[in-house]
Amino acid sequence: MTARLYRLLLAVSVPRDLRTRHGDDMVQVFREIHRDARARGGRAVLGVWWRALTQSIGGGLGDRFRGRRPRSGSRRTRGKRAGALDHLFQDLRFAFRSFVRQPGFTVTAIVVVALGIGATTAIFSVVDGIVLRKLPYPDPDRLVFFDQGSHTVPDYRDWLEQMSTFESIAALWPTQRTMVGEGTPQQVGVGQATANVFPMFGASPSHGRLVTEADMIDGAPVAVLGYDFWVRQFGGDESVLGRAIQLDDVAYTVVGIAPVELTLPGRLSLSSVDLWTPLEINRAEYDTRNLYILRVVGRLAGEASLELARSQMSAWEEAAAEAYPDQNVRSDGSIRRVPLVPLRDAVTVDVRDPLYMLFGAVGLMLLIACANVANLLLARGADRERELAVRAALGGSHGRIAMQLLTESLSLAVVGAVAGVAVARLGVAAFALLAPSDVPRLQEVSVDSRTLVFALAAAVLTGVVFGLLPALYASRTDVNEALKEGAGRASAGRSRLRAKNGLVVGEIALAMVLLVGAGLLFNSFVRLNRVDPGFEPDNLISVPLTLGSRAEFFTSRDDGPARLQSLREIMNRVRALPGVRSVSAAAVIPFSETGRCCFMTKAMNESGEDTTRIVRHPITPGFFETLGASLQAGRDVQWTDGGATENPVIINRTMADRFFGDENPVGGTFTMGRNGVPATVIGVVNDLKFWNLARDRDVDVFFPLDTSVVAMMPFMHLAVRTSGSVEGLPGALRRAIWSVQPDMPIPEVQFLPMRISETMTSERFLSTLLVVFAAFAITLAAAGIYGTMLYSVSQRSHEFGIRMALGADGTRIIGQVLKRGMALTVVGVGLGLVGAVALSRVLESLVFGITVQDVPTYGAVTLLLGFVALVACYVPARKAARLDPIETLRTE
Amino acid sequence: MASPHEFIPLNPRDYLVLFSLTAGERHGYGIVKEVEAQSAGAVRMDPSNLYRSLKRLIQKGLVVESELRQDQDSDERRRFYSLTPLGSDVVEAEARRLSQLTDAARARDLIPGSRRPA
Repeated sequence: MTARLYRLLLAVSVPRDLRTRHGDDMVQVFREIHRDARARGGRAVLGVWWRALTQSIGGGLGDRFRGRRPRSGSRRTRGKRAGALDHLFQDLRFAFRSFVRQPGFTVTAIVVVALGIGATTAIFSVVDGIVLRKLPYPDPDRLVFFDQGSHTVPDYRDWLEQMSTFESIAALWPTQRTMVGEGTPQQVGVGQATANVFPMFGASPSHGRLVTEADMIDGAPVAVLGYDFWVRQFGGDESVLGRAIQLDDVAYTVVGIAPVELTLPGRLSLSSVDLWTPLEINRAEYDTRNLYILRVVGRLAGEASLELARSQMSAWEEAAAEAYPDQNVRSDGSIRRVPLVPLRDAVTVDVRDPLYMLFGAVGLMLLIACANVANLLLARGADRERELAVRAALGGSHGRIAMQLLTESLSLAVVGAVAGVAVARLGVAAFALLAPSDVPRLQEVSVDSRTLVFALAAAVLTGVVFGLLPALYASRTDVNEALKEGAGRASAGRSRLRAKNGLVVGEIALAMVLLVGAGLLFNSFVRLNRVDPGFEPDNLISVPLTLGSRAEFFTSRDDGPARLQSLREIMNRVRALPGVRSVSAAAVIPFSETGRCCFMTKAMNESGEDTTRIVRHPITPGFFETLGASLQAGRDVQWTDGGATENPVIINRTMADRFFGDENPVGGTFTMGRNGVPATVIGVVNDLKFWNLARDRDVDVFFPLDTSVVAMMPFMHLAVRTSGSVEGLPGALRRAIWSVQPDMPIPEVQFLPMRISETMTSERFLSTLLVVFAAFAITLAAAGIYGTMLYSVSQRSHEFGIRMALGADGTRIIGQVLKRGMALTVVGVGLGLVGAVALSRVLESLVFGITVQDVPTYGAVTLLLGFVALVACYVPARKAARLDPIETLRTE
Repeated sequence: MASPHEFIPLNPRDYLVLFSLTAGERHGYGIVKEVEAQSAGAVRMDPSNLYRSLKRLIQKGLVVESELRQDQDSDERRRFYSLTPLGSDVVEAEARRLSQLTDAARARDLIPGSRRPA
């Protein structure tokens, strides 16, 4: 093994002729050296490998560079006229040799640089792939998203007519259907699209054809399969073309397969689109300004600017507010706006700030890493002062020596960057693995040539940043002073110490900023975890149900009684399952799948003074009991309440406080909706979090689920409270549901604790990453303090020796060193606090529950940093206290 | 015959290799150990560097190598290296040059602790 590894090393580093002649000899000698080293222990073996690596490769570099240099004889005659390139090679070889002589320093510096550049490069790849890079569509900068959720078909038709600034405007209605007749019934994502969606995103069919204008007009039941869906569902079989597939109660003929690369930007469709059908925008049912279903994207025409498009849009907004005030004027009198946003911004808006935050954090980390390496170089420079002075004395110009040192730091940085790219690759892979799945464009993130350019630029920049200070010091060194012993040396050392102190203060300040940032975020995450959702998620399961055809869900159907009947039958059968304690149904259960919701409307209190947006939830009796919420006043709904004339409702605490204040809300009334339907309060329930824990409280109104509700909306959720063990329960649930309604798509069983934790994935991810960065930062800062104190102790060993000879005891010396170290720490922490306060001002607006006045976090971070600094100072301090006074005095 | 002065100053590594052969012929491993001993452990050569150096020295005619033969100590077949007469002259000339440099440095007190009492 040893021999084989070594032979491999030789194969890459030693010229072929030398290898054929002496290869076996080399391996034999190496074996013997290795054997000797083994007898001496692990460190010796490591040393043997280190030398093998550096000498074989270093010698190889030497061979190569010697080949490019003028021969030694002619060099002497050319004297100082040696070219810059020769200097460079000479410096490189020199740098290499000096690094090899100090493996500890070299490895430390390279690792620090590699981690710094690696982490920065990894996050850059992510930022680049997600935020900076153009979207993968033709001429993507001309694509504009019509923001503010979904739009109505009449709105869309208005824009087609009036917005001359757009070359084309495409609309998509993302829906879900049940596909039957192809194995078990299943839910598929259907994109009802206008024909121009495809050219807009540069898609041409991989088989057959795509949706056409003609399809949109005659409403032909045709379908274009998404590529993935085609492969997944039909095994990529082309014979599916021309066949009919059954979606709910309509048969669609498959006319084509979409291209493999067609993926829509996330904002266009919330769930993935499995297949495409034509959107008939002229259908009478769509002709209402109350049906917000369309997602809209436009492509700007030739010369038109976004500004011009925006002014056209505001003209429309005002006209629409005038003509249809019910839909386009909000309760506070403001006009409904449709912001036009570049598609790229719309796609990345949710992740941009967190990503920039991460990028800032790694940037800080890289700076700390730079300061650390600069510190190492400074300490090393002190050791090499004599060597450099000799070079200066022998005629090396200051500039040349500074160049030499800069070459050294640059080559360190470049080697670090090469290792850093490996770190970045790992980092990006880890990021893709661990990042929340709703991060857009994650599949576009990779370490590629752009990233490499970035890493190289980072390397050059960091090399200059951490190399400049030591190089300046070296070039300022006074030769006479340096070559003399005693006083001169100490003063040079002192000015170097000042520089090192400055670096340490900077490092601590940066670490402080990073730590506070991480602390605030982590704290916010912890607080988020502690938010009371208002119900008991443990042992709670939610099951999405589809009671009828999804095709026409906005139009009332006459099979309401039948649907309600099967819902109640399903509930009865599920309740009978072993392990089930209670069951109830609602349009939406907290934290279950979003995208199917309830009814939004307005409510006005009795006096008509206060109006608020409310969310109306249809529920069955026992809903709150099943959820573990508490009915604070009044009674629960009953099946017999359905359709009651007094319109009984249960309101949440927020609404009770808002509309009724101190009065007893039970028995009180208010009106709902545009037509002012009266409602009577029969109960008050505590506030429930429905969507995520960070969201402010909604105003929720619960009303009995009845036939008119199920007739209008086929989607319901079952809430199932179990007695603990859920083994086999999901399967039993499915069988129970299918025994009532065999064509229902396989219901996805969701465990509530899991769902709640999923809504916090990005917070968890972000705070974890920042904590990792902060841990790295504090380690580097500690190493910086430690190194500097060690250096200062060695500089002052003479002084300590005298003091101890004069009777100072070890504790006093320790105290003194600690005092110095802590002084640096205090200054660093102070500066860092200023930066941290500025940072938290920014974070405040971005992250849940962060405040500038988060004193505990500041305090904890200060204590932590102080403690780490104390430990880092204590070790050199103890060393100082243990100095032998006689020994220190003698060496001077 | 070429003058030894054409070859100096010697590459430090080459010097140490040549020097290790002044006490008689050695095989590769022997040279590595000798160099390490002579430099008080400061110079430890990797075989790749050793043979690069040997190849150079052989080309210049300062060292000759034997065919493979049995080593009495380890019972292995090895190749042995020894100095040519020119090689001995070159080591001597380089040693002289180094000693002059060291003396000059001592005279200026550049090497602390090495001052001989007058």
